[in-house]
Amino acid sequence: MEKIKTILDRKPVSSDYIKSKQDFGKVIKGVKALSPPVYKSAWFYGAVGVAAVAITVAAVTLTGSDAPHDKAQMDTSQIASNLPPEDTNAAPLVEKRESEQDRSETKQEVKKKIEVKSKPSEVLKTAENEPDVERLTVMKKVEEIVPNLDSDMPHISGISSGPIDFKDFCNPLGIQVDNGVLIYRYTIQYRSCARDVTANIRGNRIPQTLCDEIRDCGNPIEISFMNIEGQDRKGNNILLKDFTVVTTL
Amino acid sequence: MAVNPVYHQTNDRLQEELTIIKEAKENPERFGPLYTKYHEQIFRYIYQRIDDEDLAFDVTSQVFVKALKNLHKYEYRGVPFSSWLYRIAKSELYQAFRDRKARKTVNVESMHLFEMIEEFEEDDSAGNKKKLFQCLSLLKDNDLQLIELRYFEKRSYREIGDILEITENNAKVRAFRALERLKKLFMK
Repeated sequence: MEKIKTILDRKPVSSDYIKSKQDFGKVIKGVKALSPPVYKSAWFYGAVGVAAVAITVAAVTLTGSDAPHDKAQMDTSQIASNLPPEDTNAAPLVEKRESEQDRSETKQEVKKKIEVKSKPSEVLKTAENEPDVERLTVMKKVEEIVPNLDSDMPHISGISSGPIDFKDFCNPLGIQVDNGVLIYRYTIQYRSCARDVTANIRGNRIPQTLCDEIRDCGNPIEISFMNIEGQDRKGNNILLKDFTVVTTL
Repeated sequence: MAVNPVYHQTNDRLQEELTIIKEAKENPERFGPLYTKYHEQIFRYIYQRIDDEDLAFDVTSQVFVKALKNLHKYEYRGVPFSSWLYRIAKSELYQAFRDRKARKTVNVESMHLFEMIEEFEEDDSAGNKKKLFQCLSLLKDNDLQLIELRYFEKRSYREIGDILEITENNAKVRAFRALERLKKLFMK
């Protein structure tokens, strides 16, 4: 146990002496020294917190407003990169989008292509009202549907409309596309002597049974090729234009 | 036994103190009158228990700094403001013993020893005074504190209760028991 020091009759300290030692200023200074610094006070943290939240919100807001633009640019680049190298008409279509005027031209071009095609019309209905990103997506679809009127036009022995010789029609090479697109499915429709025929065919060739039936009928037959689906060199699935030929014996 | 009359104040005085405290809560500079009023009491309380005079003044100053800093926590409970200051002083004293290695001290006057020996109904001889003086240093902290407050500083039980944060009756009982233990040591 700590020993307590005991003092007997210590010399008393006078009241005057104690009063002379009073220093209220020192007490006030001591209080100020003990008070926490500004950066530890509650209002400081509050102000800093509010500022931080404001900056964060502003940053998020600005980033959010930039995002669609970036996304649109990204989509544009995707479209450009997805296009086949030979596709000379599609690339300018993307570049034209940079100005409002060009944008309207693009719309008209799309509309024209819509008119040519019947199926994608419902997709394109939204093209005028939706934001850029969606419009670009729609355009991308259109590009897939209507790649090119010339080089992407499917044909049989170089003929994509009008009369075709029976021998050319039954060409073992089947339906061809000049830009390297491989046809893997199509629908054929014709009226033969005996009946109306609609058949879904796998591959690009004309089945021998069809050739035989047309030959046996002996009359010119109008044959329509529809829903022609193919794959380009990059592996993208594309829908090619329908065409109609008339066989002659 | 006569008690220290300083602690007991009229209602008007208490209200006067309370007004100053309210003002000081808004502006610390207004605390001046209370500092002047209680500085000596607090110093004597501290110096009674510390041997170093300069350190006693330092600790006294620290008591008022802490009081002023925590003044917003003070609640009036119908007792003089000094009771709150004494409690802070007690806490600062323990901190000084711990941090500044200050030595615990008991200052005894011959008169106090005489009064206690009379209480024990013993002869007021030099031998008895010396023996009692030695016995004081053998007491436990709590007992010594009560003996000091009651018999050396002549404080009322109510004031002792306020300082030690116990009831007046409890202070009375504890002070009596501390005296009994001192007497027991003395009689050995």
